[in-house]
Amino acid sequence: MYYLKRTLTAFATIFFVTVFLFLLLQVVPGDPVLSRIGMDEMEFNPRLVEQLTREFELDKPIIERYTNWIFRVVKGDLGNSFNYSNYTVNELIAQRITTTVLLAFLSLILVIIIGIPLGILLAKTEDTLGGDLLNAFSQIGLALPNFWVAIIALWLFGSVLGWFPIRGRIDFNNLALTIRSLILPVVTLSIGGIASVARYLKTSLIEEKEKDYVIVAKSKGVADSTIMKKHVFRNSLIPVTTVIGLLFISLMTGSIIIENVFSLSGLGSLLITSINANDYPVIQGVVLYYSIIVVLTTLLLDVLYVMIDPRIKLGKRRD
Amino acid sequence: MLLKVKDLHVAIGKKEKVKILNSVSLELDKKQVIGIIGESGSGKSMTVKSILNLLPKHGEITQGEILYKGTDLVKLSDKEMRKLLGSEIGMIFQNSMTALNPLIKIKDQVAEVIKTHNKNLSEKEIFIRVDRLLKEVNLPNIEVVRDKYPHELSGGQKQRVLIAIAIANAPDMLIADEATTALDVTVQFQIVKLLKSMLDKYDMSMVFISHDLGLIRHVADYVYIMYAGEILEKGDVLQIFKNPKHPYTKGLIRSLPEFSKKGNKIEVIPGRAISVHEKEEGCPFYKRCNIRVDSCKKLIKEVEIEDNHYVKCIKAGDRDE
Amino acid sequence: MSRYYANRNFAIGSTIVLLLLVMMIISLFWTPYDPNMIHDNHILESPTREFLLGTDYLGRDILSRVMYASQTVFIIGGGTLIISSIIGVSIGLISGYFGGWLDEILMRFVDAWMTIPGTIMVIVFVASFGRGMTQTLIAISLTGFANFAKITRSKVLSLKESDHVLWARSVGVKRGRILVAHILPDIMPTLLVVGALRFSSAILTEAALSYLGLGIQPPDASWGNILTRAQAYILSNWLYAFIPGLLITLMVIGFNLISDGLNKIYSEEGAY
Repeated sequence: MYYLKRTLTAFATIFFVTVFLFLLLQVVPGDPVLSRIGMDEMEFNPRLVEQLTREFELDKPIIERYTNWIFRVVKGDLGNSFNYSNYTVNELIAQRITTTVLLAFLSLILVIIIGIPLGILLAKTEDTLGGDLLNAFSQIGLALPNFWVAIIALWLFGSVLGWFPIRGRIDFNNLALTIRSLILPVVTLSIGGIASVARYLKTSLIEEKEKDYVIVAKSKGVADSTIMKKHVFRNSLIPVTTVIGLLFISLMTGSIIIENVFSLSGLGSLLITSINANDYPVIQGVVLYYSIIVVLTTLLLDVLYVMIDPRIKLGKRRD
Repeated sequence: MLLKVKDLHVAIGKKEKVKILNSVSLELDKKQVIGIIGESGSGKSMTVKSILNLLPKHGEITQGEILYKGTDLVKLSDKEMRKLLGSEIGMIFQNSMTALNPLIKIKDQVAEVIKTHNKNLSEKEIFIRVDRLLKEVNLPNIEVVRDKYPHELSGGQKQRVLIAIAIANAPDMLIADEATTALDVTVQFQIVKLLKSMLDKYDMSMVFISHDLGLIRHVADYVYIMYAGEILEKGDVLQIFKNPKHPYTKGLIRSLPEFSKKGNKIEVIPGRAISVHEKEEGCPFYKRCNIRVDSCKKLIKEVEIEDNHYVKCIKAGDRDE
Repeated sequence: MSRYYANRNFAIGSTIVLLLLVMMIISLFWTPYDPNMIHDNHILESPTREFLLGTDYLGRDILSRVMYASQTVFIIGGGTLIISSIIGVSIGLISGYFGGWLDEILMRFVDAWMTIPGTIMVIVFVASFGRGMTQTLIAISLTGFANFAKITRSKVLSLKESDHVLWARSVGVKRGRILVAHILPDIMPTLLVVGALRFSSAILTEAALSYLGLGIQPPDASWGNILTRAQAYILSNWLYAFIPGLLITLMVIGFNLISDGLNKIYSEEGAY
């Protein structure tokens, strides 16, 4: 029953988001017809302009355009790209979604693998010289603009050292190239996440260690290391789970920029190109996909929460 | 003598050390219950935490001995101390709300203390013991309760679980730190009754800490009155109530509801308890005392009133009010 | 005031921000060259004594442009902070104090707003309303107010029943005055801590936007949009790309440290 309610809320959110973004886009001063055929053609070929205007539905009122779009979307049809006339939006997205999701996913894994041990280390070395140094590093990690790091990294490791290709490509027939193309993007994308997860875990661990049930465990004669593992660490992971969930979302949006730096063709670069070309169907389609992913992730996170924290009952959220 | 604390001094602090316990001495004999009474900040919790090596991060014992069955606990290593905790010495905490790990089932939390000290027992045997313990502390519906999580139990039920954990390995000594403070009055008495029957059954001694003098009266044989890290008066529980000597003790007794005359206001001790940072030389109770003299500011001395009844006050021998 | 500087994080953070602020103020009156002046014979030069950081693809002095860009960064950071805090706090105050259906609607709205990832919202906003300083300012402000709203509202809810507010009402102080005079000072510490973080996240968002060409448009300068071109010329003049990014990082570290420092100070004082 709860799941039903949550799913409905999720749909409502997506609806809200699409309405909002659709409306926003209609205010666009740019002209998709112009972007498609250029100034000269527009002057000399009024019939083409008329045809495209009808095709793009630019002559219809907003509400009608929106409802048409929604009906088509529900059927799975996201329309045709204005810009790439031979492709439907679905095709364009399908070509590129693997790259983006792969990027985000690999970064997520890297964040977990490095971030969690780092967080434990930060907690252990608090108030020591080494700990302060690590702290400083994590502060820097949070502050670095990831596209800048990407630029510098690409220069250092790509141009100067030649270890990685300048223009990467994901081609599952050529695994070596794919891997080499992915390493830098994944690493630069994860830096912020690693810093953030590590710091969150550190704070969490330090807080949990002072809790009453830890003293009770000590009074039972349980060894410190066991206490850390069985009690402190496990309990600290709960707030960190939220961070990791939200992180996935920010990794997805972060990849928009990273794809640009590394010239990878993913959803992000598609979005940017479409914006520059006023390609509404694609913009709407891509944003729709992002919204769905966001909503799914939050839904998954809620379910995960119920599973790992016995205090959370379905329908309640522990803030 | 089961436990003998001799001249214990404890200080705490990250950069500067502040003394929080000053020359605390107490004794616990077999089958005896001693009560430690005091307001918040009096040092009563710190005393037992020092005994158990559970002092907070920047606390340390600067002087004194803690003799348990003849062994000085201060000199023991962490590992050796851990062998005693949970097996020979059991502790019951206040704050039943937060004293149990919210993510672990009740049965596993009780099992933990058994497992730690009985590494060769099988899972099955451990849980048999767990069930037995849960039954002993009068928890209803054991088959259901054992699989529950702490937030699903009431305060009183959680306290019973904590008692079960403390007595699990049949310790010789129990330490109950404000074990009933967070509970309703009716539940308080039930818990105290349970504790007393456990003590009887397992031949245990207990150190019972509270700020509630009325409660201590029902529980303890011998009482220590603490204030600002010092023991101001100590004696047999009956003697303390019949013949209190320290102005603080008198104030505490007089502020009990049963002692106020009908229609009159309940008496209170003027002022508030000082914190350890405000302590100066001499008697810590100086500022609130109604029989103080100038020399109290410098000097403080322990005086024996009657058999085993001591008071730390230079004016204590004087006439009663 | 000295208790603030006793905290190491705050001290370091505010020093960094202060230094950058000084550079920005200097740039208002003087830069080595006019940031927009084109030096025809000096295109894409490496650093020399004449042009300390070299020249860019149009022949403009990079150092001057970097200094000039700091103005944009402070405007964006400060401007978005002011706007989003005003919007957010107002919503929070209204929602928290009046409660009822107004509260329900406002909070649902804010929650829905929060589910849209900031980057997406900003990109689409800018794509719709165009690019430039004003649009960037508004777009980033719109992504930031939700946080303020929630924090303010929860503080208001807890203060609503607190002693000094009940006292004020019983003495007959008007509702509006209560809100401003009593509740506002109480939430100030939290606002400052969150505000500093908003500043740094606004700067990062603007930098990314401008880098993509969707934010501050040339000839206006921002450290982000300098990087757009700098990327291509990194092989000949690596400082061109390195310095702007470094400055962004420093600014963000500065405000993050300020926020951390304030957080520690206020929680120790119990101002929370």
